[in-house]
Amino acid sequence: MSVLKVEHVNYIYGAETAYEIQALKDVSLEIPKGQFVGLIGHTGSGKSTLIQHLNGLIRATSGHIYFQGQDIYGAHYNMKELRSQVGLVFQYPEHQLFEIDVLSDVCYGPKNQGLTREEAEKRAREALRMVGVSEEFYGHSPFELSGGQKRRVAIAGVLAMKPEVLILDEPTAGLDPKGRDDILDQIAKLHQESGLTVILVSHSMEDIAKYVDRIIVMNQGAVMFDAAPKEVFRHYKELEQVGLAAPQVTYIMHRLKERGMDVDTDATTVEEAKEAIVSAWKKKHDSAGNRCENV
Amino acid sequence: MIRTAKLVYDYIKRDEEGNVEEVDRAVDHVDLDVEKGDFVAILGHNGSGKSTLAKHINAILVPSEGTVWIGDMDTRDEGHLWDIRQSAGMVFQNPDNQIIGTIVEEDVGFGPENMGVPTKEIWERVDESLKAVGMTAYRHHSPNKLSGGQKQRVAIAGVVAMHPKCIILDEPTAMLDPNGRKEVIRTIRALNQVEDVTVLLITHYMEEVVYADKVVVMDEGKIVMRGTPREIFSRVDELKQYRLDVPQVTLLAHELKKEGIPLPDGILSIDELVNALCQS
Amino acid sequence: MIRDITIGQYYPVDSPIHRLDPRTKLIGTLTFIISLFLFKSIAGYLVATAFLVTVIRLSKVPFKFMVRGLKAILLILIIAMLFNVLLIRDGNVLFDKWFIRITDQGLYTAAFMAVRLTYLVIGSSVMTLTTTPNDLTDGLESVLGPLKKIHIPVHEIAMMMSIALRFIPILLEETDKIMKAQIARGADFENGNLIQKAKNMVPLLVPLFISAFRRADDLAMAMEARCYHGGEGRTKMKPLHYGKNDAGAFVFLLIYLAAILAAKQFWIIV
Repeated sequence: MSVLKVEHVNYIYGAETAYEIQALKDVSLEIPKGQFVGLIGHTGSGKSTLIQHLNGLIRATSGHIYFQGQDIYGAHYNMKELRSQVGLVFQYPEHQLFEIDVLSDVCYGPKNQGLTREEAEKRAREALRMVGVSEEFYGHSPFELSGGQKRRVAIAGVLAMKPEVLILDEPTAGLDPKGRDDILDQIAKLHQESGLTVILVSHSMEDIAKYVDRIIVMNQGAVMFDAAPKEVFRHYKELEQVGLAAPQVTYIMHRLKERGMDVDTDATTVEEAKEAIVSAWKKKHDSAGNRCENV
Repeated sequence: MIRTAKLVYDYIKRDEEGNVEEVDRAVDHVDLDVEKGDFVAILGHNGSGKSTLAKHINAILVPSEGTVWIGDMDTRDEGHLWDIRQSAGMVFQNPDNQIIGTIVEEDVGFGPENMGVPTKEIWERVDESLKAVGMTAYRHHSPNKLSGGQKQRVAIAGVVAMHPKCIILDEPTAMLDPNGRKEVIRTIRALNQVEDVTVLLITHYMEEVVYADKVVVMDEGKIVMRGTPREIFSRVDELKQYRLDVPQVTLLAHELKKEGIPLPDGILSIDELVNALCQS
Repeated sequence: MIRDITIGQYYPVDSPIHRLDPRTKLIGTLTFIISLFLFKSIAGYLVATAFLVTVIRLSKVPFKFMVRGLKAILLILIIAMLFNVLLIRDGNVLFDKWFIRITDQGLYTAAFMAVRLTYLVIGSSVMTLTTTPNDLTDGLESVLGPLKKIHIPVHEIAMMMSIALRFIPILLEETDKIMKAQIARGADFENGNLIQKAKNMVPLLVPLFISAFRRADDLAMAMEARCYHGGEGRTKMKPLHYGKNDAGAFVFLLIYLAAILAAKQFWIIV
C-alpha cells in the first residue's frame, strides 16, 4: 500500500482576487513505502506548494490526500500527528534553530509530540547519530556550529519525531561540494538502513540521478513527468524547454550516439557512463577502423 | 591592479576582560596578483578563508600582517578608504541583504549618490549599468518582486554604477537556482569581456570557473593551487582532497583515462570530451 | 493578517497626486489631520469629506486599498467608540439601565471620533499609497531638515525608515517561513493561555531576531562597501523640487482651509 496518495489536488491562492494563481493543477501521485523520490521543477513550478500539502501545512482547494489510507481532510483527522509522520525539512532549515544547545533543539519536536524529557532526549540522540553529529557538540550552542553541522542538527530535529516519510526541500543549498555529498550520502544511508520513504527536492540533476528511484517533474503546477530517472532524462529536450536540464552525462551520451558511437544513452551517472563508454570504446577498437562520423 | 603580499588575517576572540582567548587564522600568508582585465576565480570550501580574503580587497577588513594594494593604494591607508571602496566594488552572497533601495533604479543610484556624483551623471550611470546587466525593463520594479538571479544582477548594476576598476563577487550564486546562476555568470562574463572590468569571482561551483583566466584554490587560509582552469581541472584527486569537485564531464574524462582510454588532461566541456573520444 | 497593513504599501499608478512633491503631500496630510481636530461640526466634516473624496479620485488608487488600512485599527476604533458612548453622561439620556447610560451627546462624540480616526487613517493611506517609501523619507528628511541645527540626526532617521520599509515585506515572509517550519515540528501558535502562548512564541522569535541581526550586519557591510558614510557630501539621484502641480496643490489646500473655517463660522451663526 502506498504511504501517500494525492488525488486530483488543485490549489488556488488569492482565490477570487485579481492575483489569483493556480499553484497546483490536478496533481495525482502515489508514493509507495520505502521509495526514494526526487522532485524537480524550476522555481515557481509548484513543487514547494506540493510538499507543504503533504504534511497539511497548506490545504488543497479541491482534491484528496491520503496518508496510510486515511483521508487527511477527514473530520477527525489529527493534523498534528500527520506533521510528525510526514517530516518536512525546509530550505535553509538551520534558520529555525533557537534553543541554547544542540540537544535541546533536537528535543523540541519530540517534546511537542508529548514525550517526556527523557524519551525526547533518547530520540534526539538517536537522530543526531543518524545525521552524523558527534556527541561532543550536543552541549554546544547551535549557532556556534559550521554551516554543514547546523544543517544536520536541523534535519535531526525533524528525524527525532520518527517520521514515516521525510521530505527535504533542497537540503544542500549553499553548502560546498563536500558538504553537499556528505549530507546526501547520509540521507541515502538513512533510506537504506531504516526503510524511510524520502522525497528529495533538488535543482541538481546530477544529484537526483545519483540517488533516487523515481523522478517527479513539476511544471506550472502540474506533473509533467513521473517515472524512473532513465525514462525521465530521455525527455531531456522537453526538460530544457521548461527551464530544466538533464545531467551532463546524458548530453555526452546522446552526442556520442549522434557521432556514431554505439553507447547506451540511458546512462545518467558517471559510473554508468564510464562503463558504457569503456565497453563501446573496446568494441570499436577490436573492430578497428570503425571511426566516428564527423557531424 | 590587486596585489596582496604575505597577507595574514586573524580573527581574535576575547573573553570579557579583553584578554585574547583564541586566535583563528583565517588567511595565512597569501600572495595574490591580479592584472587589469583579468577574470580570476577563487575556489575553496566553506571556511577556507576565501571570503575573508575578499573582504580585504575593498578594505572591509584590514590585514593583521602583510599588505593589500589596490592600484597603488594601501588598504590600511584610511585617507584612501573611499577611493578604495569605489575602485573595488563588492557583490555579496545574499541578494536580499545588499539591496538598499525600494525601487530597482534607486538602488543602482545608491553608490553614486554616496560618492557625491552630480544628479545628471547619476542618471546616466544608472541607465548604462542597468543596460549592462540587462535589467533596464525592470527599473521601476520593487526588488522584492524579482527572482534571485535578477536581484543579483541589480546588485551587480549597483556596483557597476560606481565605475569600479574591479568587481569582487563573494559567492554571488550560492543561493540561486541553476537558471539564476547561469544568468549571473553570463552577466559577469559580459562585464569582463565587453567592459573590460577586472573580475574576482569567489565560488564553490566548478562549472563557473571554466571561463576564468586564472583559478586559485584556497584551503585553511592558504593558496594551495594556482593555474588555468585546464591545469586545475586536470588534478581531480587533489581537488577532492580540498573538499571540492569537478564538473561531471571532467570527472568522466578523468575516470575514462584511468581505464586506459587515451584522453587529454583537464577536459572542460562536453564538446571537448565528445571530440576527443571520437578521435581516439 | 499582518499582510493587511497598508502603511508603506505603494500603489504604482500615474496620477496628479503621485506626481506631487513628497513635501507637498506631507504638509498636506499634516494640515488635513490638524484640520480634523479643529472643528466639531457636520458642515466641517462635509468639507473634509469633499476634500478627501476629491484627492482619492485624483490619486486613481482604488478605494478598497484605502480602506484596507482601517482593518488594522478596527479594534481600537470600536474600543474608543465604546468608551465614548459609555463614559459621556451629559446630554439627553436615551437609554439607562444598570450601569449603562447612553446619551445623545455620547453618541455624537463617538460618531465624530470614529469619523475623525477613519479620515486620519485614510488620509495617511493616501499619502503612503501615492508616494514611494524613498520619496517619503526624502520628503521627511527635507521637511525636518531645520532640526539638524539642534543636532537631531535627521538623515540617519530618514535612512533608517527607508531601510525598515524595504525589510518589512522580507521579514514578514521570513516570519511565515519560520512559523511553518516550527509547525512542521509540532509547534502550536494558536492554543493555550496567554503565558503558554507567549512561551510558544520563543521558537519563532529567537530565529527571527537572529535573522534580523544577520541581515542588519550584512546590510551594513554592503552599504559601507558602496561608500555609504552618512548624509555628508551625498548627492541625490532624485532631488526634490516643487513644480506647477505643487503650487496648484497648495492653492487647493488653502481653499480647503478657508472652506473649513467658513463652515465653522457659518455653524456658529446658525
